[in-house]
Amino acid sequence: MLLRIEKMNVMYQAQVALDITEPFQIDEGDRIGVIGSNGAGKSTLIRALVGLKSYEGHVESHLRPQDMAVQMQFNQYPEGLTCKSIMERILGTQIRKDPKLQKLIQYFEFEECLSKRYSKLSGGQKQRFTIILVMMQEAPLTFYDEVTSGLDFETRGSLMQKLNEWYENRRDALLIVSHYYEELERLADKLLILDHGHVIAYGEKRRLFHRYCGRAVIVLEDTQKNQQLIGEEHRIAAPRQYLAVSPQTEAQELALVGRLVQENISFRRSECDIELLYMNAKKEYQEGVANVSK
Amino acid sequence: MSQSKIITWRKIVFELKTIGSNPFINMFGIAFPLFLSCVICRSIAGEVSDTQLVREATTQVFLSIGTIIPMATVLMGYAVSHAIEIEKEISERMSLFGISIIETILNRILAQLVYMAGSFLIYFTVGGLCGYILAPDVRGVIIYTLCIIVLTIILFVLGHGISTLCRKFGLTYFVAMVIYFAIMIFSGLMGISYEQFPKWMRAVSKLSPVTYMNQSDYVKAWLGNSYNFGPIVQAFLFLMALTGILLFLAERRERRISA
Repeated sequence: MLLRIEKMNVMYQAQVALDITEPFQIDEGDRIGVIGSNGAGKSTLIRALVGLKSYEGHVESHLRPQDMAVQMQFNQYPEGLTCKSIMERILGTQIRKDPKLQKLIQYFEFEECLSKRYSKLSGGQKQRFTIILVMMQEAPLTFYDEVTSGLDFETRGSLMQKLNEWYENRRDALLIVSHYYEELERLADKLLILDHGHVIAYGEKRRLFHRYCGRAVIVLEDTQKNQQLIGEEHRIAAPRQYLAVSPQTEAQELALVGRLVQENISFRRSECDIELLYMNAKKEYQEGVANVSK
Repeated sequence: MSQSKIITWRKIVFELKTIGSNPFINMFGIAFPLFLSCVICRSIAGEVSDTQLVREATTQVFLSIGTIIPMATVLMGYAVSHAIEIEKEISERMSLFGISIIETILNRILAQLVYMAGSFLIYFTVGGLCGYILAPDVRGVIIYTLCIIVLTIILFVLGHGISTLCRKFGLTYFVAMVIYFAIMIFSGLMGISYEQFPKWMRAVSKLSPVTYMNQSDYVKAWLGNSYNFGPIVQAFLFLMALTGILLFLAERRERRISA
């Protein structure tokens, strides 16, 4: 066990930013995706764990805040200096004498940026710069807070691919905050779902999907014809313009797929769609809260 | 990423690069005082014929305008760059890599002193080569150096306090600029000397050690002659107490924000 949050309460003035009441833990090698809408408490959780925000409660861990590495959403460094100077200062090393650092610079294709000032870098280059510094820390637990936000599609894709490849055979635990579900589908094996500072769900991705969405889900376009065809039974929450059906058994699924093929209707099958998982977990949680308040 | 030694030459060099990358500091920390001193000395040399008197006057000009160096580099330069770091959460980012604010500040103080030593070396070398500065007595050099070091530390604390309280670049720049010009005006560095001040201005002026470093008899200390250090020491103590209170308020605010 790397870290166990028994209880955590974070306030911003009179407002509750995070209120974790059910304990959960992060183990070595965990890849945890953190999802939730804006203001859910995702970044607050990271800030509290690395010691930037005080909290009430109890966190059990042998790790000190300085043993954790973190890529914040926005990372700023002293202006007017080259990336090389900043990098060497932060890491306390010299690039020409450090093969590990050279390898990372090469891996992230950052050689040409070393002589540039940090303020002159593009968004993707800035993120790669911090990722190199964070990876050099080789921390047992690393946080990535919206590492690809604000990047164009292509840069985002290539950056995530690099991250995926780098961590593929490593035992570091990662906690990745992202609004891009497809990134988490590739990187995360566990999910932590937050809503208004509360933990809605935490656990292994496939197990959570099974709990909130069923064994598999068929997703198709939301048209009147499709609505009539699939009926109301086994429908689960889905993004706008889509319908999602969760057949209970394999036989039911085969029958549904057969009808869709027969009617020449395009569909997608998923056993681990994070967006659907999130929507249905949130729906169940909100219904539970509404029932309690009644 | 913790690095064992808090103060190292490499860390100081990094801070020196940060200082040097600020064109404002280079401009107002070296070029401006040097240019101003040379212009004033040239004009004095053209007006007075007594060589000894001229050289004493030009030496005094160099000694008093030299106080602009720490005011520009430390009060303005440090306060503004620290405010930018607070505003952009650079200190926070660095702390996540294990670089504490204390470590940064300690290395920065030393870098400021190294930078100023370089500035004064250039300043006095040029002044000496132009023949504007009389050769000092060893005690005179020690006293002037001590005065500058104490002034620098006070201005550093003042700059740190202002930036920590203001927390924004714009506001810090404004407050530091007001204090910078206030010290210049009340110390008689803006063309009107202490003797020409009205009574109330003299009362304020006496509280600034720069006033005493700008008076015509300060050159006596430089030349090793007897000089009454009482008033300047009192002014230093007053400024120390004032900046100490400011630092206390700034730290209290910092703790409140962190909580």
